[in-house]
Amino acid sequence: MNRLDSLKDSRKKHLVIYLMAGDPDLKTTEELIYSLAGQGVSAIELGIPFSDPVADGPTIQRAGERAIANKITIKDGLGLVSKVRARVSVPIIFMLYYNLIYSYGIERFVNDCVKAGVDGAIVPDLPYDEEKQFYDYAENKGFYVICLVSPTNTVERMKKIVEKSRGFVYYILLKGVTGAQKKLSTDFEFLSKIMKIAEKPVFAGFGISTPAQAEEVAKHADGVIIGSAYVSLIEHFAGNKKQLHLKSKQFVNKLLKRL
Amino acid sequence: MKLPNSKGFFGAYGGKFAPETLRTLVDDLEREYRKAQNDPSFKKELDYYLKYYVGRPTPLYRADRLSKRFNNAKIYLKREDLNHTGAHKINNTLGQILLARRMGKTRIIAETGAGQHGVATATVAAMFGLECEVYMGEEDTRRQALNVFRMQLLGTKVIPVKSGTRTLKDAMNEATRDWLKNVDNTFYIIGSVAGFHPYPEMVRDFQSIIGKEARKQIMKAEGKLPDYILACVGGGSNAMGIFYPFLNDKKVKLIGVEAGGLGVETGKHSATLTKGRTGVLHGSKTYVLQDINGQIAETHSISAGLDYPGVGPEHSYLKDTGRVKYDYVVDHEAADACIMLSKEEGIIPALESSHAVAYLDKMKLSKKDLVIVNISGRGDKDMGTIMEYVGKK
Repeated sequence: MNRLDSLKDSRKKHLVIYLMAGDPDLKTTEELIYSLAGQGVSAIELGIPFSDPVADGPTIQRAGERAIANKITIKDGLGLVSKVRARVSVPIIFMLYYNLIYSYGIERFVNDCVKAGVDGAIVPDLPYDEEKQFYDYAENKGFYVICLVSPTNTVERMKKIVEKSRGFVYYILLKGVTGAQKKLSTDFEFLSKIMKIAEKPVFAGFGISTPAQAEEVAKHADGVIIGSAYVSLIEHFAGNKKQLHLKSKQFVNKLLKRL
Repeated sequence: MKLPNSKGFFGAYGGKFAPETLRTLVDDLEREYRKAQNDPSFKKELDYYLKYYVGRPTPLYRADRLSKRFNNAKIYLKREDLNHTGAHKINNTLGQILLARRMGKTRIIAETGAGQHGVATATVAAMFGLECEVYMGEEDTRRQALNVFRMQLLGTKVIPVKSGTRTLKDAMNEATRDWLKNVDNTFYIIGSVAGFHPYPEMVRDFQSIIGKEARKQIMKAEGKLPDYILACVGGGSNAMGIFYPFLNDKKVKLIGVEAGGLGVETGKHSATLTKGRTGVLHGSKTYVLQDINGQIAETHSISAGLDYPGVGPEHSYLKDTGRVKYDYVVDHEAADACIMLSKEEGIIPALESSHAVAYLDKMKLSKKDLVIVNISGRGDKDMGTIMEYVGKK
């Protein structure tokens, strides 16, 4: 049993929120997790900062730079999740680049995640058909590796990715890097193809910044992932914790209402 | 066995660690490259431009005064500095832009450190009339202002990169992000034997013209193969280019010289194979300079072209198998070698290539040794750095 199995519930549209561990500091990240869990988000994606995040746009790059300045590592992420597990059961997924996992040790990473209560990982620079040893070990331990599908993938490859992904399938809405977009220029044709094939939940992310956009995308998917728009909010209100918690609550409420 | 294998691995190194959005394009590129390899008209076209535009073959020059300095060992210099644009980089940019044209791409992007690859890319883009944008760390745009202007003169837009350490690795990150966004019309010309498969193989193949020529030239001049071949290694494209045609000649000792910066114990260096450990950077598994947590390290070298925390995956493989010996020289040794070669032979080498020249001093050469040093580029771009160095001395 993995907490991410709760995402199979198809009676509602799911909301996943991304935030960077240790931005602006670990204590704030912890409080935000309690607040997000309390509001009923379906899962939390917790970023672990990397020096060279090629799949991320400026907003998440800056969050990563702040977290690196705070010397945040995988260990800190694990410590944080262990701590919040005393109070919340919301699924928590790490989002990180592969070199961090490789450096930490593949088996040690999976074991420590399971022990701390991390349910899975998203690794944007690790395709489903590299590093068999990592995928096999994760599978063996019931640790979910969530794979990404891009609009540029061939149907043949998309099918294989969907098959390999655990927990849910992460559909990249736009060609490019993470980051809020004023206008979502995407066609949902490929996404509906994936929805038809996948026997697991399909969530869409990259570029969604407003509740209205979230509502539009959720019509075509099982759920949406909000990253940069939420991280921007943290960046903007980091100096005023009270405001930050208030704005976070309001933003997430608006999103939940529209889904 | 021919390497890389079908998945792009040289032993344990290499691979296609590409974000999914680039995957189809990278697969298309691989297919197009295989087609081109088997198409005589591609080779004919490439050969034509290499001869009439780049000026190949480059000479293999017997450096008598240099030889005298090193116990009369016979030392030859492979003169890649005499290529159009002044370095070996154009061998590869020409090959890749021909592929881009075959794939119908209309826009070219590249990353550059010292600016030599940027200039070589801007040059071929101008020649073929393609739109071109080059990413360059903000730090490097200041250090190499002249090359920035050269690229602009050639009609290329130079984009200063303000993220991370603002050097070559960040330029590569930013070029990758651009490619993710503009995947439909854009071709990314990578300048080194790095990146995801098939780049390390493809760049090696385009650069191996250096070794093929050197082999013929030394056989003609001396009737035998050399005892040693020296080349500098940053990402490692000039070294792979000259080493590759000699890999099966076990008697030829191949030596790759890394940038020891201020000393490999200081943490301010770029000696990836000497001090790094296995990781995944810019699409391939390879030796990487990184901290204990896997964050990529900041590097330093007197030569911007070697200032890179990764290295081509095939070099990692050749290190582990022992076929190539990798060692390093530090900043001042390279700068001194640059000055020495200028005075002895009237050839001003790039600071990158000066690392290979400097290594001659570390070898106990004797009269019976036959050596080739790859002079991968000319030193004009480094005059500011050398002036500063001489001033401090």
